[in-house]
This record gives sequence, C-alpha cells and structure tokens, in this order.
Amino acid sequence: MQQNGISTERKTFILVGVLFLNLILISTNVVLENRKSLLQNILGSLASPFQIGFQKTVDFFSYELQHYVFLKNAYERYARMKDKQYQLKLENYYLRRQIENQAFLNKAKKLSKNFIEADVVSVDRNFPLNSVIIDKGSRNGVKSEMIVLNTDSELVGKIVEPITPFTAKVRLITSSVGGVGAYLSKNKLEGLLTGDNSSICIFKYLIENKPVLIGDQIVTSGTDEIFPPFIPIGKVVHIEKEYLIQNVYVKPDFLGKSIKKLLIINGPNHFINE
Amino acid sequence: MNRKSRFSLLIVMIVLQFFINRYITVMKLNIDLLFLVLIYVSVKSTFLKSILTATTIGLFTDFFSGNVLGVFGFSRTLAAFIIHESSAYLDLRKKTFLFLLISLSLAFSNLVANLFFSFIQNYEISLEFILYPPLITGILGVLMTGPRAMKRYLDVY
Repeated sequence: MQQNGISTERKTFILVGVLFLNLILISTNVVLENRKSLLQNILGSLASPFQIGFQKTVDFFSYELQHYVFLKNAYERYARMKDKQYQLKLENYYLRRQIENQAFLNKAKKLSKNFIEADVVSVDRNFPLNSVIIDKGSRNGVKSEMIVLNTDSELVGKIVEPITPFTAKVRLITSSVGGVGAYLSKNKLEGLLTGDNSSICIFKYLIENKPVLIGDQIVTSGTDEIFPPFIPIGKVVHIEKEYLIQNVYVKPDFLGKSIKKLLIINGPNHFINE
Repeated sequence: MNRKSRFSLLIVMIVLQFFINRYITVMKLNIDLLFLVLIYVSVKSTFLKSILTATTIGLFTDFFSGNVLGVFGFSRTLAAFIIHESSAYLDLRKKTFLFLLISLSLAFSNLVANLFFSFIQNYEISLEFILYPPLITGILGVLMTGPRAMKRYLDVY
C-alpha cells in the first residue's frame, strides 16, 4: 500500500525511527541527569536569542505602553492627588488661621524662613556643657548672637565669637556665662534662666508664692531681645523655695539628644520690636 | 492562501506561545498554539513533513517546559502520526470533529508525556495537564477556523 508516495512500511520505519531517536534522547537525559546533552545545548543556543529578544521586546513595549499609552492609572492617581491637594489646602488654611491668631508666631514665621544647617565638629573638652564648635562660619552667613536649635527645634544656645570663615562657636544655654529670658509656658510667669556648666539650669527670680510644678515646660519669653519667644527650653525637675523667691531647676530638652546636627536661625532676633 | 501569509501566521503563533510560556503560569490555561500548528501541518502536509514538524515542535516544547528533553518530542510525534492517519477519515468541516481531533490528540499527547514524567521523575498523573489545556486549545482551534475568511486563509473548507 502506498500513500502520498510513501509506502506503509516506510512510514512505519520513519515513525519508529523518529520515536526511537526521541527515546534515546530521553534516556540520555535521564542518565546524564545533571548535565546538558549536546542537543539540549544546540537547542538552547538556537532558542535563547529568540527568548531574550522576545523578552526584551515585550519589556520595551510594556514600558512604552505603561508610560505613554496606559494613562488611565495616571489619571486616577492625578484625581487622587487633586483630592489630597484640596484636603491639604483646607488643612493649610485652618492652620494658617490658627497661626495668624497668635501674633508672636506670626512674627516668628519671619525668623523661620531661613535656617543654616551645621554639624558640631568639636566640644569644649573641659566644660562640655559650655560650648561647641560648628562647621559653619562667616562664609555661610553665620553671625554673632544668632540662635541655635537642635533638630527638634529646642533651644541649644547662641553664636558667640570667635567666628572664623569656616567655624563658629555656640555658647550653650547650660553655660555659666549669660542667660535666657524665659517663662513657664502654662502661666507665663517670667524669670531668667542661667546655667552653671552642668546639666541643670536655674530659673531665677520667680516670686515664691507663684505655682510651679515639676514637669512644667519652660520656654523662651523673647523679652531679652536675643532669643525669640516660645522656643522650648526644658522641664522643671526641682524646686527650692527661699525668702520671697523660688529657685526652679530646669533640665534642658536638648540634653540627652544628639547635638551632632544643629540649626541656626538665619534672621534678625529683635523681631519683637518690629 | 500564499505561503508568506501562512508563514507570518506561524510567526505570530510562535510569538504568542512565547508570551503564554512566559506569562501564564496557571497550567489550566496553558494553551498550546504550537500544537495547532502541528495539527494544521499534519492534516495538510505529507507524512514526512508532519512527523518532522511534530518532532521539532515537541523538542522546542521540551526546551521551553524545562523538562526532560525528548518527552514531548516523542508524544507530539505520536500525536502527529495519529492525526495524519485519522484526518483522512474525518470531516473536519464539522466543528465538533475538529474540536474532538484537537482536544483528543492533545490530551493523548499530554497523557503520553505525563506517563513518561511519572516514570522518570515520579510525577503524578495530572488532570490539569491532560484535561484543561486540550479543551482550551480545542476551543481556540475551533474559534480560529470558525470565520469564513480564516477558513479561506488557512485553505480549510
């Protein structure tokens, strides 16, 4: 019998031959379980460029489609962001209203426009709580009497001489030299905060009968015309009553936190009188 | 239908098969477009051509599946032989017969491959492998040859 020009015997022979070749291939693969056969290598070499080409083409088109055609998601994101922007605008409006109601903060806003970031490069060896040297100097616009805060916006000290082009000295509020006009944030009782090169400052000249509690927050008053008002200084840790006055001991907030990075307020300090 | 058009369709199917192998990881949906090519060649071509095409397609399927080389080569060759021999007795203008031919032959081919895998690598006989891909491929084959234009294009009246 003959079909398509090939006899049945020949067909059977071809079929069996091809199947046999496949069986040999299978057995080769099974025996050499962890090694690639020659044919596998050839097939791999033939197919791999197509696979890589295909993958790269698909990646290219996916990228192009995602970035230039499928803008549906982008629109949804845009809409979400618009909503968010509206909410933020609203929130911003209310916050502005709150701030505007407080004149002192409104003035403080002028101060906070510019900050100079500085890193502490050395600490006074003998009196570590007296002063530190920072890596910003006159070249960076640092001037004497500028206010220095830590990264949590708590009062650290002020800039004092010597100021070199590349460095400046910061006198800490714990220094025995100078003082800070301050009051209790809860009842605005005013006094003078001075240090003695230790970790505790003394809040002086507070009338004896005025109520002060341990844990009360002390903030700058601004009346010294050096430090702007309402900058957190520290908390009351001890109270000693004397005749007519009471000495309140305050632990500065910046102690116990890193002062590696500091912020210098780059602006006029005498804004109270503006 | 000229050879160029058929060749371009073949290329499209190969590219689509690349895509399926790469992105469809669910075995149930693993459509075998190369098997449709195999069926077409087996039905339309000579015995030798169909056997050699089947072996080549099988070996490439082996390579892409990352399994033992030769298993699909064997099973697809066997399937091509059966298709080639039986197609003469089937009226492939009827969609039911076409569907049965595609599904049963692919199911048979996958069963043979699965048996090999169970012998060699202790795989279990998996319905997901034997049943679902043949059914989906069969449906796709029927759909592809459904439109008159496509029939004319493939020269399968």
